Formats: sequence, structure tokens, C-alpha cells
Amino acid sequence: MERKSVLVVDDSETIRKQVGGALAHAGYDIVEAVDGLEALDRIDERRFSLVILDVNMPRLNGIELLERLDPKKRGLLVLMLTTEVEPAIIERAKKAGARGWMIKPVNLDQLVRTVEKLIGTPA
Amino acid sequence: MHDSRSALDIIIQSSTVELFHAWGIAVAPVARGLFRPEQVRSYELVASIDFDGRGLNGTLALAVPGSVFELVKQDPTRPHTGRDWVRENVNQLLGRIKGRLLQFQVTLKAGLPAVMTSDAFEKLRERGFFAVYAFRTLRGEVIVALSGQVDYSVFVYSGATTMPSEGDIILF
Repeated sequence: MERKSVLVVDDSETIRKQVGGALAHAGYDIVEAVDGLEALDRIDERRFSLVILDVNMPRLNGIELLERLDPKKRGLLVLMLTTEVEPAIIERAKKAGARGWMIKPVNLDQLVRTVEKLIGTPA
Repeated sequence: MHDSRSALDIIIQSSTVELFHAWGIAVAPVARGLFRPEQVRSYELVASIDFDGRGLNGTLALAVPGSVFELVKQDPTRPHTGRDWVRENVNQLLGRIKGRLLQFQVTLKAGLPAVMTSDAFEKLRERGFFAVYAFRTLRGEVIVALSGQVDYSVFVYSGATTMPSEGDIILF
């Protein structure tokens, strides 16, 4: 059986390695993208169980990507992971179809538990 | 104005202490009288991020000695790229400051964080900082500096708004 895959989108390698490393250790298949445009390519290539998405990124930011993706229509789960706490931006993401909002720095054990709750165990 | 200045000092100092604590690094603010802006110097790891809002706009810079990053690297699960680490940290620092300023009716828009060269930091220093903060660690001083413009009169405290904070996970 194929492992569930998670796309981690962040322009910071530090965050991609931290988050991706924790989820890979838990057994998920991890794919990384450095910004919204690269994420669009990855999403066109294959199906992901979950996308973890930063907001503040070059070229195409997380909110713009979310609005372009229309995740509910695609049946795609998206969790935002950001330093943003402004209510208007959180509301915009919610309206665009995000499933949740996580504020950096997130506890990695808690992150893994949240992912398991949303998409189930890796295999 | 004095209260607003103190509030900004507390916001920046507590945000920096918490940021480094999250990486397992203890930092202690240096009292204002014991540190002068002209003592600021560049370090191996410097990053900056622009911000813009009513009454407050400019650049936030974070300068960290390489020896402090060595403390982070001791954990094998931690990042190994100091430049990306300091860049992400200046982003997270501004995020914490932004969140706390919302309670003062100040909403900041952030630019993209960028690694700074020593020359770029020196140019920023020559333009002048309106606030500089130093923090002691076991491996040297961390510097947080703000350049640009600040109008302390726009800071109006209103603790009414409940904001999410670092580490929160909100499911819709």
C-alpha cells in the first residue's frame, strides 16, 4: 500500500527540513516546494493527502496559491503554517478553503498528531 | 510617548527572548544604559525584513554570531544552514512583534526576509537605527535593530482582541 504523502511548501529550508523531517520520521512520504509556483507544479504532478503551506513566500505566496487552487473543489487538505496572526488574513485563508492555521514555531509532536488526526496514519 | 516606547521595548525584548528560547538558546536583554547603538557591529549571520504600517515602517535586522548558531547545530535534528536559519528567525521575530502590536492597534505588513551581507548591514547602520537591543548569550551577543520611522503616538493599547499565538494550531 502506498504511503500517504505530504507536500511541504516553505521558502525556508530550515522549516522544510524540520517539518518534513518530523513527518518523514512518522512515516509519511514528503515532497518539498520552495514557493507557491513550484507547489502548483508538484500538485499537478501527483495527488497529496495534505499540503502544509507557508504564507509569506516569493513569486506566489500561500494565500494566492490557496485562492488559485480552490482546495475544496480538488478535495485537497491544506494546513497553513506561518508567523501571520492577523485575523483578516486567517479569515481569507479559511474562505479560500484552508483546513487549519498553525503559527510558527509549532511543536513538532503536536504537528504530527494533528496530521494523523486529519489524514490518518501514514500507510 | 514614554509608555509607548517602553511597550515597544518590552515587545521586542520578550519576542526575541521567546524566539531564541524556542531554539533552546537562553538570551538575556542587556539594559539600555549598558549598550549604545554605536557599539553595534555586524556578525557572520545577519538577516533583515522590511515592515510597513501606520506609524511604524522600516527594517528589522537580526545579527547573530556564528558561535550562537553552533549551539543550535548541536542537535542533529536541527538546521545546518546558518544563513537560512537567521533568515527564518528574522521572519519569525517580526511575526511575534506583529502579533503583539495588534493589541496596540498597529497592523504591520511584512516584506520577505533576506540574508544581509556585512556591507549591507553597515549601510543600514550608517542610516541610523531608531531602536537597538542587545541580548547576552553564553556565546556572545545577539543584536536586534530597527531602522526607519516610528510615531509612538499611534500606539493605543487595547487588550480586548484575543490573538492566536506562537505554537497554536487552529482547525477550521
